[in-house]
Amino acid sequence: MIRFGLYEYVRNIWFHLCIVFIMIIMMVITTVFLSNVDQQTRLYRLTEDYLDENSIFISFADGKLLEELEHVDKVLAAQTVSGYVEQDSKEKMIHTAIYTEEVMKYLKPRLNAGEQLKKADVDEDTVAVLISENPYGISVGDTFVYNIYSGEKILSVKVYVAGIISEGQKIYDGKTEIKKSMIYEDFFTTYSYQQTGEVLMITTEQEMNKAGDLRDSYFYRNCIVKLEDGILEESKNANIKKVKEFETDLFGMTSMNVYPQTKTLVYRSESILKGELLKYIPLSVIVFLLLTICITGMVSIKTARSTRYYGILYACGMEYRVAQLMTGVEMGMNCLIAVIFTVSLLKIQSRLKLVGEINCSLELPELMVMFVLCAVVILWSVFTARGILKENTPVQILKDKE
Amino acid sequence: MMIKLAMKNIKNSFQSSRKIYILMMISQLTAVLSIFFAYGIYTSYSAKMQELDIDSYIIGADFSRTEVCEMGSLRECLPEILDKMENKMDYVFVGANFKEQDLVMYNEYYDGKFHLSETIAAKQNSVTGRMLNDEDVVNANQVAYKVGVAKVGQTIDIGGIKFEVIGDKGDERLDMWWLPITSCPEEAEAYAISIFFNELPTQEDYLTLENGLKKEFGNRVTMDEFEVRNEEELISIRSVIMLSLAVGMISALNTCLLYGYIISRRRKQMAVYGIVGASKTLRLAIQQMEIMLISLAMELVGFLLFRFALQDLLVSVYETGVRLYGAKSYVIMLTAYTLCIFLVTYLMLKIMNREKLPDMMRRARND
Repeated sequence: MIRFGLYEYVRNIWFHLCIVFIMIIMMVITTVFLSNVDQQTRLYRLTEDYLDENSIFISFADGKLLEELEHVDKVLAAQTVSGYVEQDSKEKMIHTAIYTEEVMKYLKPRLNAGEQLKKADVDEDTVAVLISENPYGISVGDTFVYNIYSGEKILSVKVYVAGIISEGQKIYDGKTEIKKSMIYEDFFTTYSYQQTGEVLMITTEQEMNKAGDLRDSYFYRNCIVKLEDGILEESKNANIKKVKEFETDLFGMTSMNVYPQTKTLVYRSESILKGELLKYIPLSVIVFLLLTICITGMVSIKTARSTRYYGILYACGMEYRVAQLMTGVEMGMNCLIAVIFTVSLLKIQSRLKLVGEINCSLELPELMVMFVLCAVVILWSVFTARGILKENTPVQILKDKE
Repeated sequence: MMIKLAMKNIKNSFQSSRKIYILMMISQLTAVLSIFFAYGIYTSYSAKMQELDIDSYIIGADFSRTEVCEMGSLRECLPEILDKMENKMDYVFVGANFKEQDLVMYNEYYDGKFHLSETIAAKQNSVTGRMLNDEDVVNANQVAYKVGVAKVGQTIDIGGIKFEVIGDKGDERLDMWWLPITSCPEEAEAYAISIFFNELPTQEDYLTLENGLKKEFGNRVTMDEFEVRNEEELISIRSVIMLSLAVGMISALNTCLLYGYIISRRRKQMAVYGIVGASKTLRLAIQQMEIMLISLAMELVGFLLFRFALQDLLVSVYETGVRLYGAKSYVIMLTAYTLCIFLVTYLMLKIMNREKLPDMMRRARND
């Protein structure tokens, strides 16, 4: 039976190759589509949990201020430290953005070289970092001592460079301009070493904790503080007062009035996001339509081509269930080959950027959709074959196919 | 007679393989719609990408319209600013007004002097007369080029200075005078300045321009925001462009797959035609005609459906300054699509018809 199935597969090899090719393109389309939507919406998905009517914005804070605030549900803040690396007896400045796990999940930096922090193999006392292009000659695999300004002290930390950050991507370092027309995107900076001349490192809280508790050295910028639901207006105003006092003590003025009203910011953000997503609706309709037509076409032709053959075998005593199984196995093989090729192609594209850089990540949602596509194709083929074989006698099948 | 035969074949095929035929027609229709759609997406997003790309290489400022910022003052402070950007700069654009006369100046700056912008000059096609040249700028000649329509040789008065009109573009929609920055009247009111770079401008360049202009004009100048080139947006746009190409590809492939199947079912019929005396060419022509009749019918339906039901909706969603769909673009797309269908099916038919008649009959029985 297996030999027969393989023979049947090879007999129609060109047809199967066509199917594989079409399936590869289908999977590439769905992967790129989903990756692109994911990329477009990630900033909103990161901030939507923090932005509501009760949120307050703080342009600059320290750990103490954030602890003093009451009825706080959660805080999203750009945590940064400033420091330097010593080269030729000179202090070469490097700022560091420290991401929480949540921020890292949504803002995973694109890299020009090296690997992500999670994959870095470092000692327990070495902090893995990603660094931007820099004039200091620091590159992937280098280890150096990073000296952090911490009040009047300097804290030295051993760091290992896991990767080089690409230019022109969104980061969370709090260095954005605060303005009345802000939306959720404006909390994040588009970073470029080439254009700003500032060298940047990115690491996670988890990595930074290896060097000890450095939270006193952190600056918290462009914070979104979500207060608890049902908070009283007095409590909210008390928090705002604390922030204003803190800013006035430090800078002689407060920037809280520069931020837009939370309601306005939320409304504007949602409108802009909806506008962006609206552009994907016609594309998704077309893609869905095409995928349906393609799958229907492939399955119909597969069944039409094989029916007479199965009719002969059916007449010779083979059960229709076996024909179903063979159809399922054939299409399963096509799907497996298509998945292998698609994953390989997308990995090669990510590495070599054959068509320039595009969004084509292979995360769980994309792989799930590939799996669903394969399942639909296999099941549809199996049930279509069953439908024809079960509802017709072998003579009817052979007669129809004369 | 051939058309009659092709129509009869279509009718018979439809009756014998109804599902496949309906599927093929729907597939063709979807393919046509997908191609129109993909073209729109491709054009819209390519224009957006180009716009974003260009914007990354410009820094600029606007001058107050209520408080005068004189060209004389601007011309004095520019050399100090542009000296620091000389190596990276392509050209500087200055826009000014003098009593409702719109003045534009496109200049390069190097070796301590203003020169004509070669980048812009190369894009101008003078209908009459000549363009400005480098000598006009270096020597501060009192000459003017009309970006619009003007009488060459006439003399015009701008700010009390007589300018000789040396050429015009011949475009009635435009109405601006291109002057050498060195001879522009001092009293002309500057309204905008933009510096175009060959490489990405840095924050330092931005601050140089800002400090230089603020020093001269104070609050009368408003700087454009310094925008770091957003690679993520460019990547996103490039991804959508690739998607549109993939959509076009898959719709074409699917149609070819269906046609391939239909053609393979005709082996016996073609063999019979051959046996009764039809030449290879005639057999090929009959089949090809049948395919082209169906394709053209579906293309027409697809075009009408898209043009009258979907086009406006798409244009409103993907709003762009670029005109997405015109008669020319439709004709090109439909011609290209028809040609592709013709070539692919021609090849398939040619391969099928090259076999000997007995082999064709034998293969038809075994399929």
